[in-house]
Amino acid sequence: MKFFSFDELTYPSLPEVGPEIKFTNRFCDPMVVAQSYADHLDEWAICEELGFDGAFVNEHHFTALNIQPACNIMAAAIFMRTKTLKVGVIGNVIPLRNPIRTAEEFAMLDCLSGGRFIGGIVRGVPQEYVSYNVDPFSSHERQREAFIIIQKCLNEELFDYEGKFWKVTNVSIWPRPIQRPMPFWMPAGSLESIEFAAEYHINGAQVFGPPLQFKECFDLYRKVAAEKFGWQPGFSSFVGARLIHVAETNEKALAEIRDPLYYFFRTLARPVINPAPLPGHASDKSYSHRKRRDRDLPGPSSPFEEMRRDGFIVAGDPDYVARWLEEDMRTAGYGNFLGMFHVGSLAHDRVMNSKRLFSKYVMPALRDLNVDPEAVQAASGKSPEVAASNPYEVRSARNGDADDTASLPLFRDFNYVLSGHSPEVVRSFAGRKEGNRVEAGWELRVQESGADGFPYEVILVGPSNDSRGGAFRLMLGDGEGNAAPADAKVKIEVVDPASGKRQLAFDGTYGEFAAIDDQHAPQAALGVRGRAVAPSRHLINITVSVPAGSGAIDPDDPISFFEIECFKNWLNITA
Amino acid sequence: MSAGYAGYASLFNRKSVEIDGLKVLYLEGGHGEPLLYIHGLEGWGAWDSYHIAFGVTNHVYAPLLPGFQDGRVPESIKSPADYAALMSGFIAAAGIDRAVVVGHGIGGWIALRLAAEAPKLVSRLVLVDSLGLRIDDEAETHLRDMDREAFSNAVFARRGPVLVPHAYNPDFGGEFQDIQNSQDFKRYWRCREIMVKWLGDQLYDPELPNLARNITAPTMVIWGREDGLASVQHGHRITDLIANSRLAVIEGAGHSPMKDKRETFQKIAHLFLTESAELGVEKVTEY
Repeated sequence: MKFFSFDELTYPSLPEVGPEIKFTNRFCDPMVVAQSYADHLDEWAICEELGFDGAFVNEHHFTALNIQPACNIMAAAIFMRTKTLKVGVIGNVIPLRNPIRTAEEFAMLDCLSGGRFIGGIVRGVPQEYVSYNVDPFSSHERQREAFIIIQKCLNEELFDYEGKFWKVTNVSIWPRPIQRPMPFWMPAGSLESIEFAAEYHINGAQVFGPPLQFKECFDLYRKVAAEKFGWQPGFSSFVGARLIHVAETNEKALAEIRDPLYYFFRTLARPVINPAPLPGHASDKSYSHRKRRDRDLPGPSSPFEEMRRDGFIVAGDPDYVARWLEEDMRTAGYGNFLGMFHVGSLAHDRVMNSKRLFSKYVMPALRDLNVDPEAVQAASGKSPEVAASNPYEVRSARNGDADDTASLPLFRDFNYVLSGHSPEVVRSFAGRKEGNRVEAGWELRVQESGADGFPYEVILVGPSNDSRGGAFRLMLGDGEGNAAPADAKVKIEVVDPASGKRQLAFDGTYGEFAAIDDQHAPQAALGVRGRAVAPSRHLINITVSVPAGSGAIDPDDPISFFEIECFKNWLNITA
Repeated sequence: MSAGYAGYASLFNRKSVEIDGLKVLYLEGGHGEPLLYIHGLEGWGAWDSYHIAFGVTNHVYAPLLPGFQDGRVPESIKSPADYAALMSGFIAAAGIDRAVVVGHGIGGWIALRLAAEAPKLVSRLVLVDSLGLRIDDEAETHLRDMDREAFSNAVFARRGPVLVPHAYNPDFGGEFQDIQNSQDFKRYWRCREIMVKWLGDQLYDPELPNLARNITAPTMVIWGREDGLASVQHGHRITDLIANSRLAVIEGAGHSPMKDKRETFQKIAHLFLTESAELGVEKVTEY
């Protein structure tokens, strides 16, 4: 069993007023909020010292139930107070947020914490759709689309995405996260949520319900994961969340928690706007799996003892709490306990005492429960889709080595093709004697500026971990329609006319080109073999040479041509 | 793509207007093309989930049929035809040129007459478990003779305890409710008494078939498979009579699909109102 601490961060001092009064922010004293933040940060930070595995925060909007609508900020604050504790969000309301921004914040939190972050998503509750004024019928679609974009941001190097709600291009977030894949949690009580969580291997959390209700949801998750998505969740895929309070005696615990508990439920049911059940948020089959009715599920107005019996609050001395939770964990079958210690208006010192007692007496008694075999644990939380996608490697250019790079594709991100028709071509030449060889080819010169007036440089792209270089296609005739000899030497050089400095981009034989049936077939062409940069006024020489007297080469022969796929870099445009 | 606004849909006002000497109370909310919702046995008073569903894409007017609040149907209202005339006046009084008209049960009966007799006022029509037709070889419904058990079984397909997820977050808990102890049932039972007092057992309008044949507005007919007041055969009959119509039959729903299968009902209505291709082109679809 792993232990986590999670609180709604409820505003602690709302007056008791009738339903005719809206809890707008005129009831909010920012100094009370400041003190609440400080108290909660102490309560989360102490989790590290007490041996908890992690702490969780979450967001709600337009309600005193939860006063951390930007909960990622709170997660960052907890990270600054801890060194080893995992911290997660459960979660961000992703249908109502920009998914790229969400992913950027998640990646930042992961880097900020050295890989201790746990991502989390929620679909949002009615008053959030109302005040954001978003179509509730689209909530499921928005959630799915946002989650896909977040996953792409976190796991892919560069992507475009076009969906129903989002169209994004050239996305490559900085920083990328340390954890790949990043673990995710979400509440999963309805059929739709369970199916979504099972599809993407997201840990499913249950809150507010008797053990048998938890069990039904987790069993359904297992069934869906196995039958629909082909994997077996372990205990670690499931999260049981419960309001909890531990004191030295049962009497003390109950006396301390009763009023804060009712305060919590009163606040839960009173967002600023409380609309009728929002359409489109669920489906009629959503809750068909909850068929057991051993007892009514208690509501906010239920008798305290009934709520305690059914696990809406687990309150008592350490012995009671340990026994109750052991039964719960065995019945429901979860491997992560999410204790909600700061219940409603409970005083800070009582929360701290409760956590200390829980850590000292309850956690050791339950640690060995519901622990997965190692193999299952390793599989949990990893989306096959994500795991299969490009494992991140820092890529760097490397020296050309044909043997190493032959199996790599050609450079695909070229944006320019040099050919005999390019404005850079100065002239073609033939019959030039160089020692005991005769040379022919093309001489190119990078212009001062392009047709649009902007200066540029031409980069001949050599091999890297990604590619075997930009495509280089070449065919040469002898002036009479016959191919050039196979042993002719082929070179591409970039020459700085001012200094005479040379960069060699290709060195090979014509036979290598002649051996390719169709140089324009996909991935058939040779690649440029060394990176060379040709700024303004630099020359690019394509030279073919044969021993004197061994045959003619004519670049103006009708069959002669060359193409170099390269990168044209405009020097004053950044994107 | 469906475009809609939860914020506008959740806001509503209570208003009233006087038509031919009768004060008509109504709820008004939402955003978009006008939509007139004529209630059935569920009565009136709350801005319910289905009002919000309509309001996501439409400006909703939900009048209370005079008489269904205090139990005293006005002398001038002898039949559903008189309510149809009143609704025609309501549309004019609200300053609307034309509206989508949705009617449930007795409201469907009224909506059907309105669409047939004042076609210019009705851009589209949604009929939900409408009353007023008779099917040969099928026993007539006698509201007067129904006890609470029989009435409950006719109106609701739900039996025994039903899990009602919490409104503030459906993923967080819920409560089991017995339908006969619910507020919904109490409202239906009271409206049944008003109907019996007003119409007796006469849930049949012989003019309806011919009127239905004249309806040209695109029409969505939605029916609960287990409707015990007007069987699903009534839905098929109406769909046969109205040329430009489609029928959606909702399994596991009785006379009030918006209560028994809330989300399914709302989804169908939403697809129709947004002219979504997802609705398909089949004459009859089962959900």
